[in-house]
Amino acid sequence: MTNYRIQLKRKDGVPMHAIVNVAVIRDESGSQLLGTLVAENAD
Amino acid sequence: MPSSIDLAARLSAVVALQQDVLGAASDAQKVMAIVVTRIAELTGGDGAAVALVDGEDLAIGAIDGVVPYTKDERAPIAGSLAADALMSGDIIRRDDLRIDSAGTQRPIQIAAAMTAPLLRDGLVVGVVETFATTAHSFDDLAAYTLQLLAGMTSGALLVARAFRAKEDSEARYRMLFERNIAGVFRTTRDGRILDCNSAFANALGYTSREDLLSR
Repeated sequence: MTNYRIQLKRKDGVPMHAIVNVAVIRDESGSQLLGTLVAENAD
Repeated sequence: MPSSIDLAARLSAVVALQQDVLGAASDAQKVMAIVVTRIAELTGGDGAAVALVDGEDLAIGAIDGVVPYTKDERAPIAGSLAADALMSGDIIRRDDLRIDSAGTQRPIQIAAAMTAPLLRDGLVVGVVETFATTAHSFDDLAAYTLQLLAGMTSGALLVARAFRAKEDSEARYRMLFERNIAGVFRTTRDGRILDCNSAFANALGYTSREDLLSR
């Protein structure tokens, strides 16, 4: 699991910076990312 | 001595039952209900039961026809017809016995019985039983058939148990995901959101998970 600083877009279109903790999960159909929001508006 | 046609017919009936059981293998109760309706017919008996060990008792999972139990009854293992099969792990056949409960709430007469153990990881976890109202109703072919049915039922119950464990695991994951107070999400590798919880949706200004996922 790794922490990433990413930019998300809120429903009203305003960008939001966040730190997310992400893990790669794999199944028969390939791989996906499972993330947890660690901090919002993390500038 | 049964003819080869008899043997083929019996085997064919067992295979047909196996197909029905496979269709219900995600549900242990259904498996027991399907198996029990065919045991008597396939072994030449008048009734049958499937029971699972639960502590010192047998929990009667399914019954059909003439049996010394009621459904969902808990019968003490000690002193039961099933006790020997449970202790030895072998099929037990009794050709001439008398269980006469006339006058009780269950007036029945059983003169012959066979009990085969259900195994899981080498342990006896239950029994399949067939009963007859006439002594010497069961022959060697019936005993072999009951053994086949017990093996098939053991396998199906094992599958049902694994299925249940998987369902429980998925339910725990789903609860952890949905009720997490932190925002949790699942995406494709290129960032398309596949699922999220309410906390994540609210953090992005959506009213609900459904609101975000339908955007």
